[in-house]
Amino acid sequence: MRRLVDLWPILLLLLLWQLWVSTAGYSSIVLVSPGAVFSDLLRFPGAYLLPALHTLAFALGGLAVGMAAGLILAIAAWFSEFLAGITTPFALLLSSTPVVCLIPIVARLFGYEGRTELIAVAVMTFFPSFVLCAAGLKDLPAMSPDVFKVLRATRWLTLRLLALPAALPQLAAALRVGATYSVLVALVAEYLMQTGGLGTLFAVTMQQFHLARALGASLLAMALSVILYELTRALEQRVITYYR
Amino acid sequence: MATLALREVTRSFLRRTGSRGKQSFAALGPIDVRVPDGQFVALIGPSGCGKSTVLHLLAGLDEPTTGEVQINNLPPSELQAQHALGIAFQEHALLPWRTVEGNLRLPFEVAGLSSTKERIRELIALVGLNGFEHARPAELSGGMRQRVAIARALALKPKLLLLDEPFGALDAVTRRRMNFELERIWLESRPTTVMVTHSVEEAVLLADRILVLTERPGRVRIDTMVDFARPRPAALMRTPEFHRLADELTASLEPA
Amino acid sequence: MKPRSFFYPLLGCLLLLGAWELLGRSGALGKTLPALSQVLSVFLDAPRRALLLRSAAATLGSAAIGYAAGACAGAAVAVLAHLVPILRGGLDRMAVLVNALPVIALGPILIITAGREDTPAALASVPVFFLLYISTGLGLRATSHRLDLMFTTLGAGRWQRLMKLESVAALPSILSGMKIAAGSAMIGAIVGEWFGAPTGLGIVVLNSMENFQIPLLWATVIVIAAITLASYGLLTLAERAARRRIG
Repeated sequence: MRRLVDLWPILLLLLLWQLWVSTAGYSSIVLVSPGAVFSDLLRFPGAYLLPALHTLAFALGGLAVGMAAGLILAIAAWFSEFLAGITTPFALLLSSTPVVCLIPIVARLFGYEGRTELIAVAVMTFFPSFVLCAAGLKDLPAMSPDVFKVLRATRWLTLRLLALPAALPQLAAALRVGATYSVLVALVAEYLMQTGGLGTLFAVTMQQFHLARALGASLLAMALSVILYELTRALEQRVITYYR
Repeated sequence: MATLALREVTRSFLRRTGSRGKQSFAALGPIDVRVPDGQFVALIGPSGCGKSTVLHLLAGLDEPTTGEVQINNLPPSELQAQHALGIAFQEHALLPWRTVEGNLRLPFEVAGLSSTKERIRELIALVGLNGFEHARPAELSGGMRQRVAIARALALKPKLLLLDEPFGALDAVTRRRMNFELERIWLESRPTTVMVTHSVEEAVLLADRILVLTERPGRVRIDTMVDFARPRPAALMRTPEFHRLADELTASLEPA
Repeated sequence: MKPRSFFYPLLGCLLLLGAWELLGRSGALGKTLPALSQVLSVFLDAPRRALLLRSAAATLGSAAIGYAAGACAGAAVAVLAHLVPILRGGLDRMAVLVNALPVIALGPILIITAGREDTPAALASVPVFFLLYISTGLGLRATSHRLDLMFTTLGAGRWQRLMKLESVAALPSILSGMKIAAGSAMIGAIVGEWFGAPTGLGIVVLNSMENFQIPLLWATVIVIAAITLASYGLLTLAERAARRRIG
């Protein structure tokens, strides 16, 4: 019951939207009411289904690749201080360049197709994963590295039994951050490159001035993004309470 | 079997002084001590005198600047390799994501040995934590966590047991109870033990021999045997002999 | 320890720059990756330098306005959620929703309603709002329990508690959020420009793509990265100073 009550801002925003449409008097090629959008969603679900699955697949795929890459590099940096040092400038540069600006460049290199979309999402999720996992691998219980040294544990054993489990909360946090933006980055890539999915649906229907469908696609993307965020946040909470 | 030898050991660190340049800063020594097998030694001394450094040297976590640290005439790394060293710190250093059972299995996993259910159960019973096998550290009290830490230190039947203020984070009542527990546990296998503590009473209660260190750089000021019969009852703490020894040692800790 | 933590990244920098130059010269990635020297020569060319400077000023301006607006709004709503706890659940949801709004959908709507000039700032403010809302909320709740109790025994009112204790304790978290928000504001401003702003770095990116002026494209990317890094650096210094002050 509590959760349902918390949905009041959505209703508020929908109300404001409806009010805006009713009072501003824009033509329907500029803005449509929430009613029109929902009616299109409900009457023609088929038009949305495949694009939604496309966007979700690429978002999740890119998320997995980016998270894995970040974790692997964080582990490599954990083993070798040298590696950690020399990769810092590259990681810093990558993080300060907006992924969306890199999409045109990546598209030229890898083609205007799904591959580029995957890479774009992966690049975006890579950096938080790398930074948070690297921090998590160092966040060890007090004196535990000494205990492992006395037990004569090899580097690999220390990684497997101590550092990796200790890093799990940060890994969960990285997943949450990545999930939040994965759908949105996929959307921008689809919009720019017309490779399918909700982003392309939006672009095409905008050009046809079929605004209800365009906004429907956006709302669906938004819903996917929120669902992913809530799921990963819940997961993160579980991990944190397990670790306390 | 573990006989210890600290031969003319010193430990110095390089410290930055001012804007440039480093200076050598003596933390410990020279110390020259021999410990026979099966002896329980307590190390006491003022803060910063290097007591923990002695323990780190014996554990192979650190190396002396001059002199030699030997266990059975071998360097501590040998004992590490034989998995015959047990250590417990003031911070319990338990893995929060593992249960008590999981934490006790850790030394076995690291050593590449298999642990039997009986051995784990034995360890849990030894420290009096029956029923808590599946509890996680967050669910245990401070005293219970330290018991797990000590059980973990004893898991592989070490020849040398090192304790660095294991009860420092506990309240006085729990601490006293844990002291008696430790003696009971220790009597089961009597490993050679070196314990660092701030509490003179704890040292007199538990040890066969007490070393009092001077202020930094720590050197042995007093080396005295404690002859009370074992097991030592609570009543011992009310006897005049106990008080005399404790008072003497406390007085020796005051700055000269 | 210190020299190593400076030397390795320096080495990494040199390796990166060297690799860029070599890869570009060899033509391994075709025209898409020109040599570093070619890209840097763009900065030496007066008209293109002027273009970049002009565009950077425009984008920075929009990003800054959006940043200020989003940060104030985010912090204010977080304070509201803190003072009126019943609202917090709903406001959390709303912040998540606002953050999830796809920019490509907001863009066209904002163009019509807010105008081409203001859309970049508006789009910059959205992610900043979310980040500041989260970090301000976290910061306000992070007050040490003991200090909280002390304020109660002193008979402090709600406002005093907020002003003297919670807002100070929240500062490190707020600055941490501000740090991350800097990059988001830049992204928002740049994407916003794509919907028809007159000038800006986003426009230069688009135009240089269409006209195959690849070295200019890369030069623009460098400028964007430099601005983001610089603001991140400044805010990190501010964060460290705040942490030192608060202890």
